[in-house]
Amino acid sequence: MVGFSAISAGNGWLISALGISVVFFGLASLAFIISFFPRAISWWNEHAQTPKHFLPLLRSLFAQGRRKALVITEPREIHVPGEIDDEEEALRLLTAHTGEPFKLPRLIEMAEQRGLTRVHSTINRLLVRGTMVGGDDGLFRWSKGSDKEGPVESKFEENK
Amino acid sequence: MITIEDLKRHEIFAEMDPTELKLLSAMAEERHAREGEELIRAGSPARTLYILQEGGLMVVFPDGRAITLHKPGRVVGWSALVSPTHYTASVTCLTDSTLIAFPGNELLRLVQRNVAFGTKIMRKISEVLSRRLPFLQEKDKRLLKRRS
Amino acid sequence: MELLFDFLQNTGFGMADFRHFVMIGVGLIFIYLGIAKHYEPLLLVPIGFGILVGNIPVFKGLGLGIYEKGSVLNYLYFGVRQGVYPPLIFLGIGAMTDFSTLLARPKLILLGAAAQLGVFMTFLGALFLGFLPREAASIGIIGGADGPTAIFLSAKLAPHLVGPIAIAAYSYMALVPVIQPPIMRLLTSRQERLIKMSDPREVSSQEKIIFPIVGFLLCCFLAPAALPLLSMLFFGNLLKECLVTERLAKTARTAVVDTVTIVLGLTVGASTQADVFLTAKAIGIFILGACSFMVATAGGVIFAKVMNLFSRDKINPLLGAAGVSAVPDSARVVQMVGNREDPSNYLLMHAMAPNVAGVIGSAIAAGVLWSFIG
Repeated sequence: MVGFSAISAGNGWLISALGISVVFFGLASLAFIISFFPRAISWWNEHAQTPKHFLPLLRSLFAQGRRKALVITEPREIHVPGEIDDEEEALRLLTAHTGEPFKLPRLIEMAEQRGLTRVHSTINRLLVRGTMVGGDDGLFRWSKGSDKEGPVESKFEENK
Repeated sequence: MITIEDLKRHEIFAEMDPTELKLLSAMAEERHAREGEELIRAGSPARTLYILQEGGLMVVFPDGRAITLHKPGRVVGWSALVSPTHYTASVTCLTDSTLIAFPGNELLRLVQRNVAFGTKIMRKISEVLSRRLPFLQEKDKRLLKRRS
Repeated sequence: MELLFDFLQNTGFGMADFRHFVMIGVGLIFIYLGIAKHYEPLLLVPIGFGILVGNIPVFKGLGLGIYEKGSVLNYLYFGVRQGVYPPLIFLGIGAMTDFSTLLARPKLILLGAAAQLGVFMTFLGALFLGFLPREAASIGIIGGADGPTAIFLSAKLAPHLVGPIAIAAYSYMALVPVIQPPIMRLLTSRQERLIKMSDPREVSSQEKIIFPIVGFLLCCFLAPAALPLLSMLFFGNLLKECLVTERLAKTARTAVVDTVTIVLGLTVGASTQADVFLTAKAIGIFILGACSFMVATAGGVIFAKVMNLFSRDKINPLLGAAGVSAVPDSARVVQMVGNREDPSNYLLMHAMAPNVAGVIGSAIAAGVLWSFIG
């Protein structure tokens, strides 16, 4: 048997209606009872007659400690102002072609294609020194001025 | 072997209690990566979350923009925890780096088991990403404007 | 020469027909999906391998096959047949679940209830297609998105369909990130998807201890047939939350759950043989299974929208999709869909509430169906 007659023959409508009602009623009742938990528990804690030695035991079971994390300061690199090394010069020449601001992955790709070695660590050094800076727009620029402060990882973090 | 002390150094775990830190240190592994190594590829299944201990990372988004991370405690691979399938950006090491790796599915199981821990982690994600990615938020805002 | 020929006739190659190879192919696909694609590997790998085991052609009467009394597989299958394994898995699930988000915002429990609409609509759909009531109930419970519950109920009501039902249930659970998002986007407006939920209140340890006891008593008084599943779920949770039995809770969520999952997956897979799987009924089960997930998702989302009509404190209706109790995948899907609209909207922890409520709801639904039809 198929079709709606099969549903009727199997008491499908009644079972489904009752079934979903039972599920809803059960979970709704659970939700209703749960909503009283905070009040019930605070009443119990305030008014219930419990042996004196149980309360400290319960408190010690539920107590949670917190520890502050250690904060380490980030390393600062110092460099002599005005000094440009060969790798930096090569990268500057590349960006003279692409213009500023530039996409860093593209710069790395171009540098590697031209045979520059250890491009990644060079760029890391320039970023940590502050010679190259990343902007809020995800693009990078050469910084103006010779004296830089620490790693310029993300300017916007200083504004929090 | 990652100890609780190693974890406590990082901001993301600042609010965790000793029990949670113990669980985290049990699942954490130390990962060493070389300069130029692609740690994460955009589009690949997101299985691991990494915390930078030492070194430098470049996070590259699909449109070619990037951010760089140098400070210890920086996190990459959030998709292992908040999105169901794939990484949304690639991560390349700018230097030889040391990271702490967390398997995403084990972290999720911990979140399922411990809502307080999960809430702390989600709050940290929210703080860190909103600080780190204003240009992405701008891009999303432009997208939202275009759709409306 | 004759001896060699006899030997060859008695090997699996000699006894196999094309259906065995088709099923072996199905088993290999499941193993591939589990290992290469990471789709529910803890279930698909044992089930996939079990399919390989169950579809090696063997001599009847030697006590080798899963349906032959006295065979090793038959003994292991006892736990499926008699509904022993699913409650043990629920013990582990209870021991690994934190119900705090549900306790902090009890009204989200109703989204877990609403998602059970998928169970009963699929039950009607299965009856419509001509399945017997016992079979229809077993198929309907796929909509509960709970593998152990689906196996439990089908073992009681339609044991011959345990294999395809379990495979359908676990397959669709793995496909939740594919099935749910289009329905969620279709049924919600962008403004609704942008709703940010306020932080839930702190839940005390005392509440977390009382909840499994109260929940168990209430749910099992209402639906006694759900006793095997819900008793273990709440017991496992009590072991976890009371803190004094942490060793037992740890065993429940690690050793017990892992052992049972291995045996359950292997035997369910081995019981899935060609004469049941390669039939029109199995195709019907798969189609109905997909529909059940879709209806369950829609039911949860629509109910959340209805709740918003009467509530000042608005719920993001995407949370309704998390009532489909594929824990924690549907909660992650809610997170993903919400995040796409607003990268600063983190819904994962809020979605855990209807997600775990759905587990309770699907167990109650199974109990209700068993008591009506069993």
